Amino acid sequence: MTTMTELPAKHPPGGTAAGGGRNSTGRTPGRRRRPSGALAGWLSVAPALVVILGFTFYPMVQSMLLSTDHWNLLGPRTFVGAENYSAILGAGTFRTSLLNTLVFTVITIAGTYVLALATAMAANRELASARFVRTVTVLPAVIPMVVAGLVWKWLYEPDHGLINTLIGLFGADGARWLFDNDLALPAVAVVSVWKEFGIYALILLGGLQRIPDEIYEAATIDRAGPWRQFRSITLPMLRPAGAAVFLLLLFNSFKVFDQVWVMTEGGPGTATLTVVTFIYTRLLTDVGVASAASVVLFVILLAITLVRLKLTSREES
Amino acid sequence: MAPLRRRLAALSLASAFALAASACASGGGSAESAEGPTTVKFWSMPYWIGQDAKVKELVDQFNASQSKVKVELTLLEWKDGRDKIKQAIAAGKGPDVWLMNNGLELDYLKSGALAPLDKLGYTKADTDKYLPLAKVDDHDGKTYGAPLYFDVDVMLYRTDILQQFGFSAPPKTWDELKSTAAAITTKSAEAGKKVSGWQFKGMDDHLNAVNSTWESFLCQAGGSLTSPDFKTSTQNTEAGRTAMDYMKSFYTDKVSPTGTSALNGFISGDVAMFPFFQSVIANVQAGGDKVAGKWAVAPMPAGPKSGCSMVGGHSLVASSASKNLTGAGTFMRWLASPERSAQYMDFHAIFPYDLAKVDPAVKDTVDGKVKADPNWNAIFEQLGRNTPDLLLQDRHAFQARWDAQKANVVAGVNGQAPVDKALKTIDETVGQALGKE
Repeated sequence: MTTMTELPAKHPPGGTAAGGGRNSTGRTPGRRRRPSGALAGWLSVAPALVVILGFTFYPMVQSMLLSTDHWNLLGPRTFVGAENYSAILGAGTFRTSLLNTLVFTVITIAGTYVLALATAMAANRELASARFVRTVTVLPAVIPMVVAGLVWKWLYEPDHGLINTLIGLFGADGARWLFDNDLALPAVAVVSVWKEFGIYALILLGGLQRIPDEIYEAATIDRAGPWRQFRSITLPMLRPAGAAVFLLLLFNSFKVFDQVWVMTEGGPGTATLTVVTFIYTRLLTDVGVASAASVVLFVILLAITLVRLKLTSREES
Repeated sequence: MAPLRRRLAALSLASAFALAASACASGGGSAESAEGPTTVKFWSMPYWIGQDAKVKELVDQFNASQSKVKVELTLLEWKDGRDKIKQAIAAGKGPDVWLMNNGLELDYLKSGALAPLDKLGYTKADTDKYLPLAKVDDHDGKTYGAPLYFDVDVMLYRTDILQQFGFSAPPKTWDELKSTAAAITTKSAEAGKKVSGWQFKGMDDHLNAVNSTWESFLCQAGGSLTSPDFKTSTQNTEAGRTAMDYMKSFYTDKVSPTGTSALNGFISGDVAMFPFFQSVIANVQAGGDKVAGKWAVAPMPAGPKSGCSMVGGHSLVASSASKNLTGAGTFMRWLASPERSAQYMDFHAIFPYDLAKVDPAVKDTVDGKVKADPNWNAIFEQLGRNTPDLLLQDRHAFQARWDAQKANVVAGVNGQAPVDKALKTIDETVGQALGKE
């Protein structure tokens, strides 16, 4: 059997393992393939493959199978077909959680993107203060979300919280924040924006630093103002980094759980109930319903990702 | 290459066999041992507020008193303890004995996961000693839980605030409650420091508490959670509307503020009265000098039909899959004995036995504790008003009701959903879950 160490000696000078010594069919004469090379390849990817199959693919398939069963973990599993899907899509609670998740996603993506871009542009300067901005904006990201949620819960406290105390200094009455059906979801979204925008600012900063200075210099010579430069140079050339930020924000927003659970547990009523919170509350009592909701969430994210990839490839071509 | 391939295949097979062997070796429950003490696995949350070390102390006491049974304690946290137990039971690796809410969970009962007390060495004489309320642990004619203690919804009130505004006694009816609370809120605002006369627990930072609060007021209005056969949700009724309209009136009339913490406000003197399980006394006492000598407990103000309230507390249950039911029963009868339950009163837990049927020494202990703290009279009066019915109904479609009430009672009471719609949604959601049982 051929070994890896024997291969180079059989290749013509300048040839490669892939192309050297092959006939018109692309195969090595007298041999169908080089098993040692294939085996080495499989062995090198095997650890990652095992992890992906075991911890991603298998749970996904299991979740899809469970979504067609009625099961409370203790009793027997009963096949119910699409009943769990019709139950959640027909029930107001899941639809509310889906709508809440969409609203949360829109607020978070818009807020985080604008703040991250502004911060990245402020930090993309040769100033001493830029380094300070880079450091300070990343600080919230190192705080665990549960801790951040608890701190903000106290800040939002209607009677003695810092926010309403500050509002009170101006003679106005503060809102009930997390206890107000209309304000609770935006209030939770603000925490996500505050905590995460620094990380996304770093990604956008990397994108900004890849834009050659010469383009701005040429635009300045052509008398393009700052706004025109931003619109016609910065934004288009930031698109790859922007696309990455968008997808990351989208996934993280759809998966929001920690801060919601710590701050409101989905309340008041269902005002902050998100899809993952919905799944969590049903996980141990109705595994089928929780799995069906997980599959719906997966399909939504997959669809959005595919659309985004299609658009990106179209833009690139 | 061939030797490498063979080595890899052998390694894979060895790993698979090792995993299979370890899985087979670690079946659920603890085995009876021919020699030495048998081991009982006990999983518990710290079930008294502020007494996290007490459970371990009790288990150590038990182990020191026994030669045949040894208990291994696993302490869990409240935030996910019940989930961990259920997952472990489902995987066949659960404990022999664990803690469960009074009323027990229907999933466990219907799946046969729990051992009835008669299989654990309990006799009829043992179970007859319990209060009639202990029927909350019955299912299909058998008893599955040994109550450690009961909780009941009561009213806590600030004696200093009520006296300040001219009230020498706590309100006894819904009408008195509303007028007393309104007077305190209005007069305190006029005096320059607003005190909310009343706050419903659950309409504040403790959202989950709205379930027990709502079910107490529904009960007082003469309502029920389900029909007697547990097949229909029955909250969208005249009683349901009466209870929700009454609760809502506190917010529309600006007597109570949404969001203000009932407990913190009570301690700081910003809330005069609130309802909750009597176990919250431990939290109130943690307020130290701010509340010392300034509060008391009263039975719930009676509604149009009665003064009943929600019952809570915890029981010990044992796994039907346990290989050591005898040891499990020995431990349960010790930890949930009248002697131990009398001690639990020090942590504001209600003694679950009929005083006329326990050992005279235990009765003397309980009587002494009641005499030393007059709040026990109010707590026991409330206990006497309650029946097992509400908790037995609550067992059915529990999770669906828990979520539906949290969402719709809050919305109905704070006026963000019409009362009829809120009640109708609860019935529809719970009704679907009841239909699946």
